[in-house]
Amino acid sequence: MTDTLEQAIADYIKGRKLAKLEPLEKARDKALKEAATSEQIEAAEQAFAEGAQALEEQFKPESWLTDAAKRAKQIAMATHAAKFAHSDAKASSFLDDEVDTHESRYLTTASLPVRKIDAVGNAAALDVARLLKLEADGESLVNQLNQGHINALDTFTDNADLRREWFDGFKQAVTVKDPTAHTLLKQVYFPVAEGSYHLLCPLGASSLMGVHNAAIETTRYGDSKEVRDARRNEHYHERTDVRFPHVAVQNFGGSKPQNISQLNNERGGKVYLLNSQPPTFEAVAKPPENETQLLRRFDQATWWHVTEFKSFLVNLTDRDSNFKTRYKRDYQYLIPICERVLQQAALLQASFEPGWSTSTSLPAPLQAWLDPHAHETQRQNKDWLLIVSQWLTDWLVRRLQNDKSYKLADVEHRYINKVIKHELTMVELGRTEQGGQ
Amino acid sequence: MSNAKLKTPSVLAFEAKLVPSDALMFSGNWDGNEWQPIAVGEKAVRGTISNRLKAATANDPLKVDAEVAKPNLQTVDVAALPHAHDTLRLDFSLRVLPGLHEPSTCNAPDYQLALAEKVTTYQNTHGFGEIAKRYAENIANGRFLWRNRVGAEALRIEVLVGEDTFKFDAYDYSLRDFSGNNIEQLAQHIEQGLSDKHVLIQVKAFAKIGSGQPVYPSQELVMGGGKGDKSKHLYALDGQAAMHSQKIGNALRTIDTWHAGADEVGPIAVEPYGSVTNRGAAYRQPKQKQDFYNLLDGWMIKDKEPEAEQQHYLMAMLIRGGVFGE
Amino acid sequence: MQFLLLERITVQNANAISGLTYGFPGITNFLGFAHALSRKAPSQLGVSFAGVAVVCHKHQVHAKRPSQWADYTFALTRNPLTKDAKTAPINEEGRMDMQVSLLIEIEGLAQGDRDTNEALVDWAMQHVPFMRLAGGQITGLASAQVVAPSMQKKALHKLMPAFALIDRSDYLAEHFEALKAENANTTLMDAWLDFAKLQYKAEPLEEGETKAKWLHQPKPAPGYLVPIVVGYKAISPLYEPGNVAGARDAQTPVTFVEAVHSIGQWQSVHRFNNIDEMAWRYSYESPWYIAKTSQVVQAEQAIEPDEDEEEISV
Repeated sequence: MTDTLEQAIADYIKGRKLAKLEPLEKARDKALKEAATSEQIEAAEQAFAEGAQALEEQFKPESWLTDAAKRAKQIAMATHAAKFAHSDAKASSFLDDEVDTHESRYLTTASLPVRKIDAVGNAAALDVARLLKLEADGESLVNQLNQGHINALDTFTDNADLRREWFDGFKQAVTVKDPTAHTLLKQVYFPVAEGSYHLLCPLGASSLMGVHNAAIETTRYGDSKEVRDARRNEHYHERTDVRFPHVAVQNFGGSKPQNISQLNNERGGKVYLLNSQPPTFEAVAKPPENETQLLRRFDQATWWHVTEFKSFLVNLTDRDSNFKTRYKRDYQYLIPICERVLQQAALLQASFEPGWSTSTSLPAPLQAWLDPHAHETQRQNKDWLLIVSQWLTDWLVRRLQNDKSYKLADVEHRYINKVIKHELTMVELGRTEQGGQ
Repeated sequence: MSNAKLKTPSVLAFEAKLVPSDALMFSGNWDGNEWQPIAVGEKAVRGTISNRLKAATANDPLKVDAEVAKPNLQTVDVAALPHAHDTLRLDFSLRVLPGLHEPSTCNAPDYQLALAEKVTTYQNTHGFGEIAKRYAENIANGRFLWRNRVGAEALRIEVLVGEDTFKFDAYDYSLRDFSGNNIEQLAQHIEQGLSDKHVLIQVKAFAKIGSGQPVYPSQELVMGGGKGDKSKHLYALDGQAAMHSQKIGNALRTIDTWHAGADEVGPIAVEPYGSVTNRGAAYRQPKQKQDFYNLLDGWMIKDKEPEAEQQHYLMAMLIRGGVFGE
Repeated sequence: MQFLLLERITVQNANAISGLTYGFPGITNFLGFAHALSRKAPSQLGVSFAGVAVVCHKHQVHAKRPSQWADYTFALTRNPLTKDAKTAPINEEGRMDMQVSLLIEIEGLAQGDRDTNEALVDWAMQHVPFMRLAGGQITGLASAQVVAPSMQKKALHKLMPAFALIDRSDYLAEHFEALKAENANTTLMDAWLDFAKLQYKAEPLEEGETKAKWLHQPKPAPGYLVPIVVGYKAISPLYEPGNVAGARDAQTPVTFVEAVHSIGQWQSVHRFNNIDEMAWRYSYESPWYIAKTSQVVQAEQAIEPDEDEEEISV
């Protein structure tokens, strides 16, 4: 365990030296093993000693840091990297250190109290990036540079000029001196006032991608597998089984993710994307011939929302189950179900020639509902609407039934009926609205 | 203002001016009027061993038998005409847009001005007639059918532009050169679209390929599949077999016979380096100075006016569109 | 308020990826379209366009998965070769087809001005099919018409079956506050992800039994809620015009931005009483460049049970 940043830096430099020393040692051991004469032994020892001596010089903290500071301009420490837009986009990358944990509507990099910082640029200078990212006690050189100092490096030299040089050198890795956009970067105009615009250049939020990926991967690997298996076998497990359905993967950099950024490389170029697709409905190939076929369509279209509603009802505590305090939430669950049913109805209304229902065995009120143009007379009074509402209510109550966990009472029946009636009426208002100038 | 000072802008992009839609596949009979969508289906196939076997296996008949007997089950997408139908119909629309004078983005106004001037000069000297004629011919010859064209007993192309309709026998037109007849009128519509007011062209191609024959929608690259996963994905829209608009566009702009290898390979698609993906070759390599960037910079910056033919190519490149800044 | 209804626009190869989401173009794409329409409209019509309601009828994302258990990947297109006739690096772009209707708020059109009304509709029918929407090609437009204030409900009904996308950033905020009350270390990312998760909890069948029933856990809020991108946030200073090399022009201030994520809801069009409550508008307040719906979404008022019910219940 390192406790100070100074120590971590010293260890890092030493670690790099040891890594370079290792092949030399191996070469020496190999040579010694094969050596037959004392001259050969001596030559092997000497080759090693010379190599090791050179490394000692190179990795003396003061000299190594001086060299690193010179190379720092070849890389950029960033939370937002340009090459996510296009692998050839030669634009600036930015380091955003703002933290705002109060903003509650809009998720951005600033919402992350903890974030990994990315590095872009010359792969040969990525060791400098690692140095700047070293963290101990919540401190890092990146932080210090942003605050305008590099106190953690004070112990490595007494030379004030050198310190200044280091600061100036490293600073270049965390600041953008000449902001650059690029022709391959999307550049969009955003109106900010009448006739005036700002030009926005979107960059990939690499740090945010990292946190997002990690959140999705924890639901897939590690202990999560145990939980998943328990669920598959219907065994108890104390943890919640979490799944992200319909995830897509976007790949950055193809076979060379390192060309995009350091973190992208660590992620194998992969970023998970969450599904924001609208609901889909399957086209109706042929009209339903009877109630059973119609209900099957409704069942299919609503099963997910019904499942959600049921799990809400199952999870009700005694206190919550009082309908009077609960109806508002019931309403929120009923609505999506009504929506799906009415969408299906609209689909049927639009898919076939008027009169299609007359050759089916659907009851007259259902025909009036789903085949409106052929039933204008029957539709003149609203009896059909009341019957259809009741019919849908009965269907839904059957779907929601769960004798083990809860019972739906008359009050709920009546409420469901009221909501369905209201929704149906809203659709009818749209159909019959006469509106004039 | 002297042209000598011009520099290629760092931001320069053109929007495509020839915009095809995806193409949808239908089946029916050559003389019939009833057409139905061709569905993409899935089937399990037993792959045969056709890859080169390792020497040790190949030399041992028993091992070869064993290898061949291994079930090599794969799922693939398939699309074909039903047995009652002998003809494939392929539909797409094509939008032709004017405005070649104006890049969609350009951050050097003086360059933009100079470019507009060049385009106007070209238009006055040559007009878009030559390239329009070639695009028209690529509609008439059914090049966009790609593999679906191969071996067809008969090929008919029907085109609708505004009030005008055209009918072509694709076999009257060659895929090697642009010398076909009776395409002037269609070419005029395209020329008008490029120079004046946008035009919408509807194309229906009919290929009599024989009942039950396979058709070839675009194939899709799906990464990450493992052993036993579906190995061939075909492009479908709402379940209907389709070809990508890029594929159609590539065929339509296969008008470049002005490159160095033209005698050998004939027309190639208009591309910055004259690249032909399935041949793995580029026919306008920068070292010959006949690639798009060299020609354009020569014309714009060094005042080296390209030959008329290379000017056609340059215009066709601007019509193709793309991001050209440096 | 009058709206221009562009009914059933068919779009091919529109952008399907937006920030950390896929499946629908970012909402600012649609505002950008209305803005482009505004700039193109002939000046003699004297109209401009502002808010946009976005309604989706059908869509197909060009993504597939090699097996039922795998993630979706985007269909890749082969790019032209490089100058050395090598395979060009693939820059993955997700694409989708969609059929959408847009209701675009018209400014500067007097109600009952039939001539302008007609000219506007003609012009839209002529020009919209040649524009791009969310980076895709428009391949069809069923109709264009001006919707008078009294005809809104009717116009929406005509679009059925379809869903409109609305702003539910309030749900995200509520959920985040609720989580924070339980655990101060919760981040907004946690709250956001909750909307996309499916969660199951085990309940032992009997005390001490290993057998258990796994129950689906409700989402933070009901409705068809999805993660979406609503715009951008600046992550750099705003640079003076001409100070950023490689910018599209030297007359406009430039800033570098990241996508802003929030929550949206797909809601059936019949549920809206007027179009205004569905319409998204540009909103700029440094450093936020985002789209919002006009009436900052208030949770919908539930229908109340009938009076007498309250007495019976308990």
